[in-house]
Parts: sequence; structure tokens; C-alpha cells
Amino acid sequence: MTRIVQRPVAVYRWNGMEPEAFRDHDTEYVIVDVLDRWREMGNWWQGEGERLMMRVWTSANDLLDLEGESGEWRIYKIWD
Amino acid sequence: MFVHLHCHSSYSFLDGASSIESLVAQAAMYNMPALALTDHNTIAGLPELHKWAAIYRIKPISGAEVTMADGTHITLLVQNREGFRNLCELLTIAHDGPEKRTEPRLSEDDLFRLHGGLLVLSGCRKSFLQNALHRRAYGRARAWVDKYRGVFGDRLYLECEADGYPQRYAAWRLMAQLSEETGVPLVATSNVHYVDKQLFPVHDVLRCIGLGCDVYTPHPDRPLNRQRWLHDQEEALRRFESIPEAVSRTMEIALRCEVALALNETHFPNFRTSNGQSGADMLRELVFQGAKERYSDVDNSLIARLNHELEMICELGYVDYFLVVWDIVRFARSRGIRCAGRGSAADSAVAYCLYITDVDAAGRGLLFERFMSLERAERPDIDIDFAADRRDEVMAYVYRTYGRDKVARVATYQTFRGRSAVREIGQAMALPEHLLDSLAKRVPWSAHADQLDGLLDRVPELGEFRTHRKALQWLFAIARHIAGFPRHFGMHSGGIVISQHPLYETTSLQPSAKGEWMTPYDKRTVEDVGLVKLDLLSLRTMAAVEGAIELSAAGARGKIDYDHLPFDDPATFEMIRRGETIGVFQLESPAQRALQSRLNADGLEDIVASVALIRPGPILGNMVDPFIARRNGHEPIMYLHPKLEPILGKTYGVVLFQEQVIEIATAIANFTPGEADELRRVMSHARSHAEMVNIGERFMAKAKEGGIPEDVSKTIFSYIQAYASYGFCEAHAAAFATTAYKTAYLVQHYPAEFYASILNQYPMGYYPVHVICAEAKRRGIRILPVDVNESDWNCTIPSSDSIRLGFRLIKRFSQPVSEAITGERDRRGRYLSVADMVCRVPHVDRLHLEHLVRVGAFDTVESADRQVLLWHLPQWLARRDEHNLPLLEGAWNEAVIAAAPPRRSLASNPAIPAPSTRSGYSSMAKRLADEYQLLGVGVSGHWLSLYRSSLKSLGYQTIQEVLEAAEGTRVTVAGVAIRPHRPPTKSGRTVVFFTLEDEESMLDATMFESVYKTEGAILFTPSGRLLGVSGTVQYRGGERSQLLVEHVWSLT
Repeated sequence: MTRIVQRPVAVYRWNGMEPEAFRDHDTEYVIVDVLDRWREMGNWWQGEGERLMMRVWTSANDLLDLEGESGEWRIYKIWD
Repeated sequence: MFVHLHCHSSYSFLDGASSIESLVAQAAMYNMPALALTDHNTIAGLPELHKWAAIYRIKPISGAEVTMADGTHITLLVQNREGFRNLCELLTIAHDGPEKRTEPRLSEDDLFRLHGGLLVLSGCRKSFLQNALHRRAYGRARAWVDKYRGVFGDRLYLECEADGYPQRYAAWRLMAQLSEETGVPLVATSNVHYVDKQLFPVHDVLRCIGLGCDVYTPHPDRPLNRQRWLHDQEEALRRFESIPEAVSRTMEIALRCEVALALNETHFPNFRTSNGQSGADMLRELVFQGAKERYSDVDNSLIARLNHELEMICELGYVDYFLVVWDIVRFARSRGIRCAGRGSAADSAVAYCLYITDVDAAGRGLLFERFMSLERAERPDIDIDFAADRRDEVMAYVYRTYGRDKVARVATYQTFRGRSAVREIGQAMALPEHLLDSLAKRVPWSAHADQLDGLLDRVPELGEFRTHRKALQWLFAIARHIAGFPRHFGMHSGGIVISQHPLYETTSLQPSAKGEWMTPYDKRTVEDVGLVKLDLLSLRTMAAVEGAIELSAAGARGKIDYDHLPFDDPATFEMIRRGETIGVFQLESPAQRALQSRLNADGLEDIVASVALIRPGPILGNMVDPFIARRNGHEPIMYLHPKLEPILGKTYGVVLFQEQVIEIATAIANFTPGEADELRRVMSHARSHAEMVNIGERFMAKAKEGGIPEDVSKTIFSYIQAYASYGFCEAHAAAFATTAYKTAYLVQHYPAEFYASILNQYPMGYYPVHVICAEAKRRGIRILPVDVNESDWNCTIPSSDSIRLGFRLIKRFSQPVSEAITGERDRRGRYLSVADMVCRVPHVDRLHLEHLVRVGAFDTVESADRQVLLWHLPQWLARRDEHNLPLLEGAWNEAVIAAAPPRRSLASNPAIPAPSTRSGYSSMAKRLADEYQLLGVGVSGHWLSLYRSSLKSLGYQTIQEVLEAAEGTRVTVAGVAIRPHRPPTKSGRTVVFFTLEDEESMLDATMFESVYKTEGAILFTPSGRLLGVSGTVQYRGGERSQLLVEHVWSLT
């Protein structure tokens, strides 16, 4: 099961341009492994650009897809 | 150094968003030493790649991304000539098969058999290798590498793509492992689909069009991101940071690949002569033998001209070309297939003596250098028209004689046009269907895809779409970019190449829908690769002429002697002068008819001039009126310089033909024939402004050297410059004029035969069926409706003053069904009713019966209303099935039929009620609607006759009354609008021309921009079919009245 959430997160530690640790509501997540990276185009006809997608394992043993565009990051998908 | 080795252009049809030029230019800008082109299953873009690569000084690498039998992709690069030949053959094999014509597939066996000279990159995400790796089937991946390494050895590379897709790095890791285990090296590619990342929307929309979805629909074959652009080396090093050796290997591969496609070679076949005679000797013999037949007196000047042409032909290496064309024409003539050469070939006296053309180039003083010269950069081009219905016999002869492996048809690429761009891009952008439909219908037919935005402001009938501009902005932006991209691949109407060597040496082949093999190159690129093109065109006019001759054979006056028609027939010229030329080849448009009524043509030269006059060049150059005035002695003939008199004398001082441009340049500026032809090409191909200025300066300088005053040479140059952008070749005009005059003769003296024949060749010519019928009626010929007991497949002429319409005119009627109907009628007599036909003819199904009823084909045997018959049809057909009558289709058994009671009729079966004879269900309007829709002409009457009494009471005049009105009379008239069009004008303003038709006559009308902008746009909308028009009668010095439109309104 997966859930699409598209929720903004607050990155508080960076690895270059990519997040290394972030906060979602009151929970803090530390990325322990990046399983995959890819790029996805948004709805270009509505002015959206390209996003970097990351599939990550976190210290809380969560598998998440993160979505980043222009320095803003969101949890795109949670893998249950 | 990085080189892109996997690159798609717009020839990847809906999967490439950049032109080849832009790809090459970008690669050159990034200082890349080479670029490979690997379009999907085609090498169509390779000649263009080589051409641009030579200009931008980079090395072109030939290749293709080929789809294998299991649907996976593989990238093939050409290492040498052998590889190119193998690639051509592999692509041909991949397309060979009915289902593979549009979805090519290549078997591994074939690839392994023809592997020589090819380098293999393992392919993109859709390759077997990557598929296996993504599925964690490492063993299968390894087996694949081992198998391919066994065949290709060190010519196999593992392709690592950096396209930003998921699982990319995992795949690389596995590929690196494979590489380490097998020794097969890695190579980096970016699977380029466009030059710049800004073009991603174009690529995405093209993919949506190809996949039949819109941008809101997720699809695995739509591009995920905008990473597939032609990036520079720095970006390559960044992307492939973990495998830098894969980047440097691209250069190693580029060095291994030779330039395999040689441009500017000639592959035309050697003509096989008999008795060991040389081609040149044979040609000379044939030419002088033809000269003796063509001319009563072969004088010294003719001999000198023929010798000059022959020398040139020999020197340029075109002896075999002429002999092959001669051979093809000889075959056609021997089989009675009507043909005639057209185009600049008619400038050649040699071509005339070989019977390739019918224009006496020497007698007319035509300039051979327009066709062929030592300095001329273009290859000569011989175009021959053959009767449309027999052209395939000629094609078959060419295949038979020169070998199926050496002959192929030429391709043609339809590009995105305004209308198709609106529909296709609009659907992909998910714009509302009704908006797209109404917009597409109103976009002018000739509009280019890159003009759409501006059209909203310029074209009145598009004005209402300005409010949708925001919604349409992406559509316009994408259309601008893809204008000119190939959209559909098809077969050129007549282009054929014949090669000395098997065609695989230079091209792949693929079958057309008709089953003929064609090269993927179009008419320009076949020449680039050294193949010489012949145009064996099918001309319906030729077939119509042949048909008229056949129809005349049964008439009282006997068979028309078409080859010996008198060229000075007064009645024919009188008819031409009245502008009554509907149906006449090249002279039937409203503009031509108006010209004829003013020109006072009395000889073939006038018709030659007419053909050239109604062209954009003379119209834009405002030459038509001065020409007419000078021709008729209303204006003095003046020459800017005495040297122009012998050149422009026959056109009354007006520059009318391309040959004259060449002669002027030679006489005034002492240009060599080659320089003069260059001048013609610069002008006629509307090249760059700088090029035009350059050649103008050369013209002026050389004229000055020859003592021509600067102001005179400047004026002369401006004349030819203004004209030549759309100039017409005199030889071509003369070739057309000959056919034009001859068809005019047929219209004048054999109208029933010729008009019936035109209808049998439909669609042809300028006008729809109802106009041809109206013109025939005006000439006193009765148009008899389709009748199940009288009609044949073709239109026939029961008498010299009537035409019986044939079944072929009925929409979606098939010839086998027609033959079944007429065959049964011949065997067992006339049909008594619809039910009788249902019973007797198994081939006739519901659709055919419905159409026959609706066009009134049963009117003479059925007293019932057409609508009543249509109501009964299902019942009769059901009974036919119940009674097993007739026998199963395809098992029609003559013996059983013969044994059956004569004229067995379902209608005579008491179980089947006869249709009611009550009438009134089908109104005249309904009958006319059916007839126009299914037959193209109203045989029960005319739309206007329905409303005539009302129109009369409202003050509308008939067209006949308008035609008889005096100049300047103000009139109001109603009619069906025919062929509204907006040709280019000198002022740039829009002028609309159209023809109005009522139940008796036709009237040509002109509408100026002010009326068009305020009221006239309805002509180009669905409500502009039936019109009321008011305006003023004009004669413009001619015999035929026209209407200058002041107001126009819809009557629907």
C-alpha cells in the first residue's frame, strides 16, 4: 500500500542540494539511505517545472518518496 | 570529448522534436567532432544529416534505432560502407510484411546474418538488456551479452543512458558488472529527442499525438522529464560522473565510424544498347531519326541545335538518362498509353525528337540551358504525364526492365499544416472538441502551422477565436515549432528512381500502402544520394482524353483523331474567347475564364501566355493588365533597352517566362548561361536577401561593363526580381498549352464525350460534379440520372446530346457490385423493382440499395416514394435471408440461376406486400439533399429552383438575367457558392473570388477586402453555401460579365 500525501517538509540538514534530515509536523526524519533518484516533469502547460524525486529509507524505518523543486521539498508518497 | 551517439530527429515521427539542422548546429556549437542520427527504424534523415554536417564541419555518423521482433529496441551505428548496405537491407526486411509496414520488426536471425560493418549499442530503456536488468533477470542479461558478443565481438557496447529515469543508477551498476565479467565496454548516451530542454513540451505533445492521449493522461510511453536534450560535454561528465570511461568511449566509437553515405555520386543505370553500340551513338541516331519524322525540313540551324544539346548531354553524363526516358515513352506509345513530357524538359529539342515532349523547342526558340547546362547546379528533371488509368502499366514495365532491386518509388512527407496542427495539437492539449472543430474548419486550407497566431487578427472568420487566445497559446506555440516537421510518410505521386546498383547500396526500402517499394528519401534527398529521379505522373486529363476518344468511337462522327487535331480551329478559339472553358485543362478557373474573355486569344501562343499569366508571379507583378492591353493594341509596346526586343517581343515587352530571365541576364549583363541559371534559382527559390543583393550587384556590374546605363540595368533587374519569385517556365507553359487547346477542342466539338469522360475520372479538375453537369446542360446536353436499367459503372452517352450518369458517381459504390448489377441485367433482363434486384443480385447489400434508392436509380421502375422504398428495404433483405435467396455471396451459381423461374421476384411473393404507392414522404428538398450528398449533383432539380418563386417575389434576379445586364447595373442575385478562394495579390490585400451557380447559369464574383472583412467571412463557414449577393455588373473590357460584390448574406 502507498499513500500520496504531497505534504511540505522542513529540511534542517542538507547534503548539497538534497535533504539529509527533515521535519514533518513534529516528527524528525534522518535519511539513512537513498534508494533511487529520478526526475519528473510537472504539468508544464500550467507553469510547473521539473522535480527531483528521491526514494529514501529514514531512521524511523519509513520508506518515502520525496519531491523537490526550487529548494522546496515535500513528502510525495509514503510506502506502508 | 563527448559525442552524442543516440539521437532522434523529427524523422522519428512524433518522437523527435528537433530538425536535423538544429541538432547538427547545436553539436557544432558545443565543438563536438561528430553526431550520430539514430531515428526509429529509418534512415530518412541521413542525407540531411550529411548535408548539414558538411556545412557545420562535423562528422556524420549513420545509424538507426531498430525495433526487434520482440518489440525491444537496439541502436545500430554504421561503421563502413558494408555496414550501411546491411543497415539498408535490415530496415527493408524489418518493413517487409503487411503488419510490419507501419510497425517494423527485425528478427535477431536477420540481424546476425547481416551484422557486418555495424556497431551495436545495447539500447535504451526499451532494450532487451535494460528490460532484463530492471526485472532483476541478470542471467538473461548476461546470456544476451554473450550471444551478441559472439556475433559482433568488439563491435558491441553496453549503452548507459543518463535520462533521469528511476532505477537508472541501479541499472548502471549491473551494466558495469556485466562489462567487467564479459569485457564488453560501456558507452554513454543521452537518447536525445530535442535540441534544448525548453522543447520538452513539444516532445511531450508529439508523443501524446502519437499515443492518442492528452496531456492529462499518464502513459508509460510519454517522456517523464526533460533530460533528453542535446547537452554539452560538461553536462555529460556531470551525468556520468561515476563512469567517465563511458564518456570518453563515445569519441572512440565516433572514430571507428566512417562517413558511409556518399553524396553527389550518380547511380543512374547504363542503358543496354544492342550490337555493342555506344549509348551516345544510339542517342544521336534516335534523335536524328526523330528529327526527320518530326520536321519536314531538318535545316542547318536545327542540326546545330541538336548537336549542341547532344554534346551537353554527353558531357554532363546524361546519355543513359535520356535513353531510359526514351525507352519508357516508347513503351507507353507502343501500348497506346497517352503521355506527354512537361516541365523544363520541353526546352530540349532532343526530348522533342525522342517523342518525350510535344513542344517544338527549336521552333519556339526555347532555351536549352534552362533545362541543362554545364554550370547548372541542379540535376535535370524530366516529368512525364501518363493517362491516369494506365500509368501503372508503365511502372510495371520499368520494374520489369530495370530490375525490382534497382527500381523504387520516391517518398513524400506531408508536414504539419495549419488545420492538422489545430486538430492534433489541440486534442493532445485536451482543448474542447467543438472549439477545435470550428477553428480547424475556418483556418484557410493553405495556412502553415506557424502562422496560426497571426491569422486570428488577419482572417475575419477567425475573429471570434481571439477571445480564446489564452487557451490556445500552447497550441500556437507548439504549432510554430513543428511547422514543417514530417507528419505522414507516403508515396510521391510519380517519382521513381532507377539505380545502376542494387538500391541497398544507397537506401533502405519500405512498402507503400499500395504495396510498391519506396525509398524513405523524398524527391530532394534522392538526388543528394546520387539517385536520379524520374517523374512518371498520372494525369487524369490524359485518361479523360482517352475516355472521350473511346466514347466517340461509337458515335456517328467516328473516333476522334486526337493526335491530328487542327491547331487553328476558329470555333474552338471563339469558345475560348467567350471564357466558356469549364473542363478545359488549365483554363477553367474563374481567373483563367475571365482572362480569356479579355485576351482575344486566336492562336496557341496566346494560350501559352495564358497558362503563364495566371500565376502568382505575373499577378503580384501586376503584369496581367499591361499584357492584355499590349496584346490587344490598347497600349504601346516599349522596351527598356533595344537588346530586350528580341527576347520580350513575343510577350509584348512583358517578362513572362523564366527562360526570358536567363536570356535577359545573358544579353544585358553578359552572364554565362550557368550564371544566368543561378540568377533564376536565387530568385525562384526565394533565398536569402543577402544572396539576392549579391547577385543583383553582379548583374549591375557586368551590365555596366557591357555599356548599359546603370539606371536602365537597375530597372531591368528590379523587373526580373519582382517577377521571378514565382516565374513560370515557357517550355512547361507550352506543354500545358498544347493539352489545354486540345481539350478545348474536345469541349467545343465533343462536349458529351468529353464531359462524360471527365465525370468518369472524377475527382479531377477545378470544379465539383454538379458544375461539370451544369456546364454540360448549358451546352444542350441532357444529364440523365443513374438508372438501374440504363446505367453502367461509367457515365455513358446514349446519344450525342445526353450523358447517362454511371454508378461510379454514387458515394461508396463499388465496381464489383456495379458489375454484378449490369451482368445480371444483361443475362436476365431489366429489373422490375427494388425487390427484384434484392432477389437477383447477391452482391448488392443494404448500403448499396439505400444509395441506389436515394439517388433515384429506381425511379423509372418504382411508383412508390423513395422514402417508402427505404422503409421496405430491411423487410426485403430479411426475406432474402429467410428464403436463402440468393445463394451465399461468393457461391453464386450460374446453373442454379438458370434453373430458377425467370425474373423470380420477392415482390411477386404474396407473403411480401408491395410498397405503398402513396407519395409525399420525400420532399424535393430531401431528394436534392440525398442526390447532392451521394451523387454530387441534383438530378431532380436545383436548390435554387425550390426557392425561385420566393426569391423572385423578394426581388432576386436569376444569374442569366445578370449575365445579360449592362455594365454598371446593380443587381441582387442568389446562388450556390463554388470554390471561394483568396489568391495572393500585389497589394497584399485580400480579394475573394468565387462562382455563383443557380438552376440555369453560373456567374463569377469578386469581393474586395472591405466587404470580406465586414460580411464576406461567411463564405468560408458552413453557412456560406447558399448565398444572397448584391453588387455591380462588370465586363472589364471582356465579353463575359462578372459581379463586383458589395453585400453578401447567407440564405441557409
